[in-house]
Amino acid sequence: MTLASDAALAPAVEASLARRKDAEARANPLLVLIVTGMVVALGSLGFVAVAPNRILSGKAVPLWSAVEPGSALLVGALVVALGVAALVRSGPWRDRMTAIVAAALLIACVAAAGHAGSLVAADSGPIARTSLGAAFWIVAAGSAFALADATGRLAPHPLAQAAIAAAVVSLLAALAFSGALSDLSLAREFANRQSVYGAEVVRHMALVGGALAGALPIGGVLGVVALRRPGWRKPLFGTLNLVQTIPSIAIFGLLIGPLSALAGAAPFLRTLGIGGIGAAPAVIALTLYGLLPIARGTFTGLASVPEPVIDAARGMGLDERQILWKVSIPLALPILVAALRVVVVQLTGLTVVAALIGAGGLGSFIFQGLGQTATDLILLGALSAIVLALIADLALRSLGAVLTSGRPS
Amino acid sequence: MIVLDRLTKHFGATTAVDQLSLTVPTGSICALVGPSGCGKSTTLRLINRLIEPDGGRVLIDGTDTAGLAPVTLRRRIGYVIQSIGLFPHWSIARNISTVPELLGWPEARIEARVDELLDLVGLDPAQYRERRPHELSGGQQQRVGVARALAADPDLLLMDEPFGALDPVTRDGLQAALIDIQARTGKTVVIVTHDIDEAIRLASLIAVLDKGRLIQQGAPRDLLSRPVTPFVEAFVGGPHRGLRLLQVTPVGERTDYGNVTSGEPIAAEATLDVALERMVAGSIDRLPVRDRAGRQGTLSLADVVAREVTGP
Ligand SMILES: Nc1ncnc2c1ncn2[C@@H]1O[C@H](COP(=O)(O)OP(=O)(O)OP(=O)(O)O)[C@@H](O)[C@H]1O
Ligand SMILES: [Mg+2]
Repeated sequence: MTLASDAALAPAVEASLARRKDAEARANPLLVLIVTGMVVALGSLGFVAVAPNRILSGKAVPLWSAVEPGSALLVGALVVALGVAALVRSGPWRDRMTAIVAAALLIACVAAAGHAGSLVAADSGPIARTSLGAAFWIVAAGSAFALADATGRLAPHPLAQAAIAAAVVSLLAALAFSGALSDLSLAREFANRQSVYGAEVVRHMALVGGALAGALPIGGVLGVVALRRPGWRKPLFGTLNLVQTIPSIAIFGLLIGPLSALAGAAPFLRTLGIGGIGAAPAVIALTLYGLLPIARGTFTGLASVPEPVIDAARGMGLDERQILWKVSIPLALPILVAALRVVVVQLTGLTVVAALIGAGGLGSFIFQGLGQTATDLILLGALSAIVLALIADLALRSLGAVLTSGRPS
Repeated sequence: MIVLDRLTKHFGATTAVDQLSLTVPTGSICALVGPSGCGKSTTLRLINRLIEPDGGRVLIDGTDTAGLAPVTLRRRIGYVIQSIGLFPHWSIARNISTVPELLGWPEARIEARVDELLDLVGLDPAQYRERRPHELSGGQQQRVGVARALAADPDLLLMDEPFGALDPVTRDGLQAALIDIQARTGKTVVIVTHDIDEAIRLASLIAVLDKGRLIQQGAPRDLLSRPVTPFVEAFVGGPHRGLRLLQVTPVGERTDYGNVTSGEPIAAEATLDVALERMVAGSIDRLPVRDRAGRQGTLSLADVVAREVTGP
């Protein structure tokens, strides 16, 4: 291509770029997509599913016939408002409007579902069940996504995001405590299991905590070893990678044999609660899963510390321990906390499977629900595990932000 | 006194330091000069045992350093690292107080020392104490690196291109500060530099290295007037060897004390380049001279340029 034709092309390219930029400035394509999805879902899918009892599957009921017109109109109006927000000029104003409307829509949508539940209960008696329908999930998930997207742009600091998330969650919790949601099938399942719910949550966290107590020191040491002995890196990470590829159920299963044999050989172990099934194999398996991300995070973090800084520390007369604790670890902290976040979220999810070998935790609701074909019990376990993971994620992100404040980015 | 005795270090196939023997008397400044990659930094790091030699010994005041605990040894030796290497997560004050803290100095003494050193390197303590390294310019960071090395008042100072990133004025100031500190405290300093003028100004002993070997060592004047190889001649002198000789020759050596000229006298201890500069500035070819004892004499332009014997 000659220079002349290049020059001739330039204005055309510029014009098309400008046009694209202009379109971006006008509409938020992702938000447009979300709102379109919401409209289609509300128009064609069930907002709740109503069943005569807990076991039978329900019949889909669209929003407009599930709730009183006022509630339906409120949800509809908020969806329209979100659509308007998607079309206004980009900028902080659009993000603010999106965030507020999305938060309101999320809460209104949950409230409407609760309202639908109360109407069904009043109509068909206490055995009838109201489950959440496809349209509910699409609107709730869509507004949660829009909220996260907008706040991510408005307040990128993890602490600010945690505060916003906490505010929305406490509004939803207030709604739940007020009793407005109590007639939803999910809430009924919760009410039935209220006596054990707290204990299972604690048990779930204890399993994760137990696995962390094993994986953090061991993985940390492995990471340091990988750093100091380049020759060990490949076999070490190769082995840990292999562990990650074994399905969790297989590991849980594989541990049953040796651990029961061990407990059989040394009965006092049984008094400590160690056996082929239960918490011990679960914690061991979860520890094994935690090793790779922690070892790799430790290695990557420590390797990211600039060589001259380590060199200067050694030259000043810090010993190897002091270099590790005073220089390397503080400087690697962002990466270390990020690795911890990954591990905690991953283990919170994996621990669900541990219920299969009798370790308890939130997974026990899921497996009971599967056994009884009670979808909402499954949902109770799954949603609780997700919320737990999200809380851990936000908390650790905030911790990371606090620990690294005032650092160069 | 530091004695390097047939010091040798290999990195794989490269010999970074090759049978290097050098004696740096207590209370003197020794400059290591030579082209990039000739082993200057490696030599410094062999002295504080950041690197262990493959052969040879380092003696400090007669003690073989191989027998000392490296950590203790390093806390006694100030070290300015070539790549500065400030701790990015610590304030400037904390960076400077690294070694005093390791040595367990009381807090008040550390605080006072930090302020003193910041003043010395020309950074206002009130303004810079609490800053982080990334909030400083490269030259300012380098000065903090020098302050950090001086913090615990070590008898021995190893400086790896400590003034490389500084503007000429700041560099002059810090060189003067170093000369002053060294004269007051009698520190032994080994400084690596690419700048031969810096070496001439600071050092009483210059060691020229090439490919890990010591090619020539001696006082700046010896090197300039009697370089042993064309390499040394080119390295220390180049096209400016004559001018640099003026920098190391005192006026008193060329003064005719039987002859008195009027005017503002120049000190006999000043160097010829200063005298020449005054002649050029004043368009004169004679300068009155006065030495410390009060003796008077005259320096003529012919004396400045005539009598030096150069070449090997
Ligand atoms: N850790 C190391 N591993 C391998 N080779 C090294 C190492 N350190 C130095 N070398 C090599 O040893 C030789 C001397 O390096 P050194 O750093 O001492 O040079 P220098 O004189 O300080 O150079 P410069 O003026 O560029 O700083 C070089 O060839 C270098 O590549
Ligand atoms: Mg070097």
